[in-house]
Amino acid sequence: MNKDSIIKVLIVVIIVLLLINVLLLAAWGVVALVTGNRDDAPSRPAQPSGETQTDAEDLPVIGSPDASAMLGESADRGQEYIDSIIFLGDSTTYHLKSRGVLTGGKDTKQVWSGSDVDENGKVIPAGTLTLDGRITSAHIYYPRTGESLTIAQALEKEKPAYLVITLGVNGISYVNLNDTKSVNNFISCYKALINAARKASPDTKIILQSIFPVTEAYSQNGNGITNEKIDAANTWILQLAKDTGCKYLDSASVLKNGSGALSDIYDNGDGYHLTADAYRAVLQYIRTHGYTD
Amino acid sequence: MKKITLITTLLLCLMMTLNACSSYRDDVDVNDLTSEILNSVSTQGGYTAMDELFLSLEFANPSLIESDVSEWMICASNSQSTVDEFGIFHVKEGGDVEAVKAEVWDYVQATQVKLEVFLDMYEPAEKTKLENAQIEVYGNYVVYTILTPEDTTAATNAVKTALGK
Repeated sequence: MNKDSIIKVLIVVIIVLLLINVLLLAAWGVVALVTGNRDDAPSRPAQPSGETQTDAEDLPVIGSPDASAMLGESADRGQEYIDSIIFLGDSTTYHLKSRGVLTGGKDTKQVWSGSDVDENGKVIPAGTLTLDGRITSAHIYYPRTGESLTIAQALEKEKPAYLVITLGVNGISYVNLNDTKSVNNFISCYKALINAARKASPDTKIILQSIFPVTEAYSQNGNGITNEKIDAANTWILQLAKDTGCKYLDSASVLKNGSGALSDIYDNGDGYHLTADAYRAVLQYIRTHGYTD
Repeated sequence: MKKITLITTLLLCLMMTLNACSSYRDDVDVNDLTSEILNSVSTQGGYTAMDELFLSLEFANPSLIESDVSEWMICASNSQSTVDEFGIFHVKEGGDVEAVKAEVWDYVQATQVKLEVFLDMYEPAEKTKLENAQIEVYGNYVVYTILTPEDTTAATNAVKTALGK
């Protein structure tokens, strides 16, 4: 091959490369045009069943709760009433199961809390559930089938007569009482959960239970969970019950000592979790403060 | 002179070709990208897509995501005892990629602070994942991971492959 031929071949290669570049640029342009329309219509993850939007103006007035949603003393509704309730919550609810205080003992199907997986990939119950922005997406262990489901999915299956929700003790550790947005976030999460629950099982009567107190020593240990916050959160929950047509159970009152902290006789030892006797006192309170329309 | 022109032209063409090849794709659906990540990481217990409530309550400036992002997906582990999570944000044309990245990183850092007490109480081993959280920009995609180092590497490789690099 002589010099001229080499130059000619190189020129052809250059032209081909240029053409490839032009074609690539044209292709990018076409793709941009085609995808441009999709960009105008944002695609969000599918919403779980249940309304999750909460307008700020719908939020209750903080600091002046309306006590009309609080369940007052009633005739003893008996064990049958307790047996008709599903208890949803964090570790303070989970221990209703581990302490064996419900019908069915430690094998009760009435307690819904977090879910986990064991080393074999099997879904197992866990005592963790936090009231935050994940609450309507969070999975719980559904004891009836052993599945991991969202709360709404579990309610669609179970459709219980009564649902007692006890949530917020973990969530309040993030709450700054002096920050309105922080407080409103707590309330918005709770409200979103109630809306999702009601949509999934419209005939279920929803009872919001007070967050249980912690011991005085625990309240002062600096981890963000204090009785001051718990008491404040309970007023928001009471107001939320009123605003959403739910009922409120002040069962925390039976666990408190004279200072408003968790009584030592009900402390499991960590200042936070309850003894079996504490749960028996709470269950007695529930059946003597029965649901009324 | 001819030779210099020829070599220069050749180099220019090569640079243009390489330049075209180094761009990340901008046409990959966020759902498809999510699937690629889910196929690459350990998913024992599964993941769930977070909903609008999550964005509106957990992000400091959700309106930025709404205005600058065409599609987003945040997936968190179904297991309540892990903090495994990742998120993908596809910034729309004209959107501010760096601002979206900063907003997402703010969320990750706020989560670190928020969960510190909780993880100290229940799952101290999970704190490492939050401390080693990563955020990367791939063209118009912002991707964060709160995963084990192995899963982070797997997710990163999956994203790079899917976006053409």
